Amino acid sequence: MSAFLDRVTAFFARHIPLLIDPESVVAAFIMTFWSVITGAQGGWITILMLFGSSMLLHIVTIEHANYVLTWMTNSWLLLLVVLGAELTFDGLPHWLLAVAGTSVLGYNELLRINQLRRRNAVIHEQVFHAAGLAVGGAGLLATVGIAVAQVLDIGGGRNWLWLPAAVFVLLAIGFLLTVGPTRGRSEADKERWEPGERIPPQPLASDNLEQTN
Amino acid sequence: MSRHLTHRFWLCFFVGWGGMVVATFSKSLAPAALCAPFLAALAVSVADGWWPDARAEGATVSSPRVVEGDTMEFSIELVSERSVWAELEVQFPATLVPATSTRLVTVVKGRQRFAVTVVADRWGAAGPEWAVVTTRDRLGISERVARYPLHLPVRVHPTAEQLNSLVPLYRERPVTGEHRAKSKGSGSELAEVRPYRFGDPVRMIHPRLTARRGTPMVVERHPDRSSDVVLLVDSAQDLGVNTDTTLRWTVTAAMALGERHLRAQDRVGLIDVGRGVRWLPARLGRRHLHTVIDALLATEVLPRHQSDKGFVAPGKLPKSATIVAISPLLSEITLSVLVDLRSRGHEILVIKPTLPEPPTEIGVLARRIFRVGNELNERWLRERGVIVIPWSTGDSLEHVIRRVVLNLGRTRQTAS
Repeated sequence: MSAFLDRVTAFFARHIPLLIDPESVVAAFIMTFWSVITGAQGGWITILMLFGSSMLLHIVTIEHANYVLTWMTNSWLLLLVVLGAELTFDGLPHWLLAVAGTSVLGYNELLRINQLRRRNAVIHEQVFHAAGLAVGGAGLLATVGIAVAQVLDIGGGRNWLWLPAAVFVLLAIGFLLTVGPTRGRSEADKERWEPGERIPPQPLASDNLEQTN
Repeated sequence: MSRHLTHRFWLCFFVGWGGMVVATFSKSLAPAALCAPFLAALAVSVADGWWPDARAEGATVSSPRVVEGDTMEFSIELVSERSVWAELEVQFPATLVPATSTRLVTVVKGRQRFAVTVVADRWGAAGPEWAVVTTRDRLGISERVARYPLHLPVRVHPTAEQLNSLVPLYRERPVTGEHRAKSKGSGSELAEVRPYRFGDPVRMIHPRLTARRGTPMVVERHPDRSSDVVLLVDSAQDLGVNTDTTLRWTVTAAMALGERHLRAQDRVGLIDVGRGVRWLPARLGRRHLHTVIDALLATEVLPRHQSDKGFVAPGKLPKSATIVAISPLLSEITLSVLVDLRSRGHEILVIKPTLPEPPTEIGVLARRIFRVGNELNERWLRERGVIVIPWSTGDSLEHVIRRVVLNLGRTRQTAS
């Protein structure tokens, strides 16, 4: 029994600091906000169920720092936002939807910063400012773009695929210009250093020693 | 160095693209609005520049030589011409334990120094191994990982005692040293007082003794001579835990003996028997002391192969050398090397450190078999004329050397 208690204590000692970091708390707040908004339509039971499952996913993602889980949690949050906007608010203004999308992007960024804290990393304050600026910039660009589209009434009925196609072409050109001359992705992945993995040390010293065989 | 796109690129790409596809088919701006921040994030990351460059340089340690338990500071600089989000991680060997964080996440522009306090936990010769610099754009969409090998050897010395006694020389060299020679001549240690004989130089007459006895008296002294000492270190196994291991005691004793004999003007050589046999030729001097100590600190147990041979080339060992082996006498290769050297006529002395207590899980019978096997090895060596002196590792090495002096005197008397 005491061994079990020791394991439980060790588990909390290891994971609680990661869960109470500022960025983790803000991320939990975003998740809670959207689960409450989405569940509001269905009553307390729905709110509690959505809140419980969201928090569980959030905690597991933070604990494992795994990108597949990060994808899953982000998709879940995006689903909550879509359902919340449609069911609770019966459709939000487009610029507010862009802000909601930014909150999902921000959530992803907060998880990323939380993952950087692993292995007792020293994180300088500029990192938070830079991340905030980048997400804020992307969100502002998207919101202003959507607001302008709404004001100019270039909404429904248009073929919006031109926009991702343009971004795709832009990225492809950027990729070819910068990565083209270097190695392929598979090779880079093979040599990639995994965080926490020990690289075997190179032979040191004893160069003066002669060897018979 | 490798460059690639992170999972965030694919997240932004698929969510953004998916939103636009849904918007197109549903003929509504809403899905596009919801997913637009993800496409905007891609655009911002492209504008910020993918695969930004930062490098690690100027790695230094506060002290390249420390004693076990000492603390030192390792520092390294992150350098970038433009503002870059960078992550730096320094990897240390198991012998150096970081007391502060080894990872730094920062936004660097120009130069930024990062220091890590490290505790030298265990003896050895191994410095910081790698600095891994990961740079990303501000949204973490592209990533560049570069590894920088750090060639900063740090020698962690075990706490070794200072010896006063010397292992008695086997055959003297005609070079002045600290050993008392068997012959008589000019030296500092008194050999005998005798009456003046025809043929003695007149200046050998001792005036005060002559005056006291009334007849010409001569004082004879032993000349101080040096010799060759070859230290044989058994690195075939390392039994024990933490700092109480056989290899640590072996290295500690070899360092103390090497330092003392080089101070006494003896030529000191080194044979490392572990994975095969490696050696340092016997030489003199302070520089050689550093070479011997560095070689000893780099000693480690390496896995053996079939092709490894336990053999020391005959030309490499001086004929007059006294071989002092420090070994727990467990490895077959060490035993065969000792017997081979003995059969070539070298005088061999084995200092055998106490074996640590085996773990309690091991049964009584297994312990007994191990002990009997070890005693048989020891007896087998003794029968071949090798002197084996047990060393209880809690005791001072000085006592062991004094016992060596007594034992060698007795053995040589028996031999003559």
